[in-house]
Amino acid sequence: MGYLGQPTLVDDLLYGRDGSLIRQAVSAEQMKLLNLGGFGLAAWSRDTPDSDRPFTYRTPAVPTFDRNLRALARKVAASALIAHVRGVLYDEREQVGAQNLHPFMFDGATIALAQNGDLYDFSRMRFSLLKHVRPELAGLIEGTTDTEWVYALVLSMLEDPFGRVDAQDAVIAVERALERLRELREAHGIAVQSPINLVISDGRWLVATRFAYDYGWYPDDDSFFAAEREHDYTTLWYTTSRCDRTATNGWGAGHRPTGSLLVASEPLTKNPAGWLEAPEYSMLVATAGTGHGVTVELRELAL
Amino acid sequence: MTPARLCELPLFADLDEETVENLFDLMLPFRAPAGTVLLAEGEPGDRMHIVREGHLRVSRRLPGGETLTIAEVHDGATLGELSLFLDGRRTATVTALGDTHGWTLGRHAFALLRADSRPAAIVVSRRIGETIVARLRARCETLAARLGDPSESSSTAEVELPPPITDGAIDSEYLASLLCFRRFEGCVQVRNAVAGRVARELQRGDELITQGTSPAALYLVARGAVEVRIVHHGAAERVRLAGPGRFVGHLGVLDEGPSPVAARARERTLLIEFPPADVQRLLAEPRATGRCCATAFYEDAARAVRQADWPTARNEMAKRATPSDANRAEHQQSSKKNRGHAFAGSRTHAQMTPLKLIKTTIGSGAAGGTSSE
Repeated sequence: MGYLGQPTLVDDLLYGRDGSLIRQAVSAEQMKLLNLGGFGLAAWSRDTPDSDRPFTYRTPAVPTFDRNLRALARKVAASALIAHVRGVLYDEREQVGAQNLHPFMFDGATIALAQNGDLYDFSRMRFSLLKHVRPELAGLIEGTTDTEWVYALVLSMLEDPFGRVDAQDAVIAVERALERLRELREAHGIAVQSPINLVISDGRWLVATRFAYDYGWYPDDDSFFAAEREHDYTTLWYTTSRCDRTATNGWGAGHRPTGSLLVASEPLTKNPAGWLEAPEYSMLVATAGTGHGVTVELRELAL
Repeated sequence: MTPARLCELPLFADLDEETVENLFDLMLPFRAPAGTVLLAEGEPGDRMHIVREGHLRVSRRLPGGETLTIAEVHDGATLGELSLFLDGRRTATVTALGDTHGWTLGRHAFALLRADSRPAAIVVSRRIGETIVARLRARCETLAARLGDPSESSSTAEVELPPPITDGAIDSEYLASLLCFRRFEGCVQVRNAVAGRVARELQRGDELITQGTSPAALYLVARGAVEVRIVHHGAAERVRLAGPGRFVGHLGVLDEGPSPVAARARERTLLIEFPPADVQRLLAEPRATGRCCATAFYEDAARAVRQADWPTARNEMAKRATPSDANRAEHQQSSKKNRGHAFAGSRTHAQMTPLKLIKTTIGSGAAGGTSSE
């Protein structure tokens, strides 16, 4: 999930709804798989020292049982946030550990990135990707996920991967990275459905994609997608409502807008009224204004 | 209420006495005084309401707490019929504006009707399915009207489809796993449904249906995806993305009239054709394969109606949001560039043309929380 707007208690964002992200680790409404591979967040707070840098929290444990996270969330407000519960295949070959937790943010970089997706057969293209990733970034990759490579690729598309960039530069970098991945997939003959829903932020803007390569070409091994066919194009939802802590329904319950945008892989309320589904092959671009407003742009990803 | 009253509804007109009496046993009467919320958005839906007399408003909630009025309906209207075909939650709220009464038909009762092979049951099931197709056409026409005069963008250009591909492209075991065949009894019945049908493979960007013409077939997407769009003066609004197990070409095959939408392959796509004459035969077919196909066609039309709701809601939200002072100038400049919030129509073979869909500003200076009504 991603958030940009008015400073809001992290507890409201992570826990405050009947379909909250933390609940989605074990009981998502639309995606039936359990997300047991860990949890991570990066959150920006205007009133903290060095406010351009987010505070981060990552745990390979299931966040549902994490008292430290709950205690922290009840005390800290954020004006931008990326949070992620990691779903992995139920397979002993999966690498579950701190090095594979989203959102990824290299030391010295200003941008964090999380993904809801899976590049099919990524291991076949991993080393071809190397020549498109700047060496100083490739050396920072610690984990085994496709997401960390995508993160390094997006940063490599920027003029200065460690400098501050605006939303438009980030959009161009994401589009170029997605195009490069398409070329590499084609070069390796990979033509199986691969969703790549990214959430990226530097605390002042937020970019979220709803995109898939080769949508509709399921893998033959009946894995991963088979159980999801009612929602087989990985979803992305957004809303601009605010959380009224006296309301039972929180986000999406229909309260005043506050100039904030919340995006999530599925609505954070079991009742989805007040949420909108982002179209397939699209990108949401949100930018915090000089006042309290947030400008939201919905673009087609015509790749 | 008596069975005879049911015949007064357009949906059940011309049915014989026995059919009406059987139908009456499956339905329950309802009464809703003015002000009653008959159906609530977001709640699980499990029945259709048929209004004998009354006046109701259909609305949905937008982010930020605003309400979008979709329609006002009167005597003879059907409401909530999508829930007879699809699981899930109500996508709109229906409020009685005047005292209203009529009948409801629950999902389980409808399932009994669909399982019945008697001609009268097939006729009633089909009429209910046709209400969904009519709703889909109405949604598309509303979207088209927002873009401008549809007649200006109609084309008579014929689509040239690639030649049929040979046997072996359609694996019935794979097809049986698709959403549209979930009510079929295994591979054998699926094989019967698709036996002898033409399959074609489209490349990304290939056109399938020209807006304003009658589709040559109802197309089942077996692999890949087809984008259904309303085109107007080179711009377009996407109505639906149809992936595996979805159909394309409902409008013009399941009903009469030209297709108000165009369709093109968004990915490399494998299609299976159901020509119009075959579709009509299957809809009237009392055997299980025909009834399952009819359910699959109408169920997917219901899914298409739900998908067609999103562009309106997204555009309405963008339209209502007012730029805050800080962003007003930028918003105005952007609005000029993005007039119509539409897709560009031109493309190259390999690459779809990029463009902005919607830009809006929300903020403390944005629209307030009250309904516009």
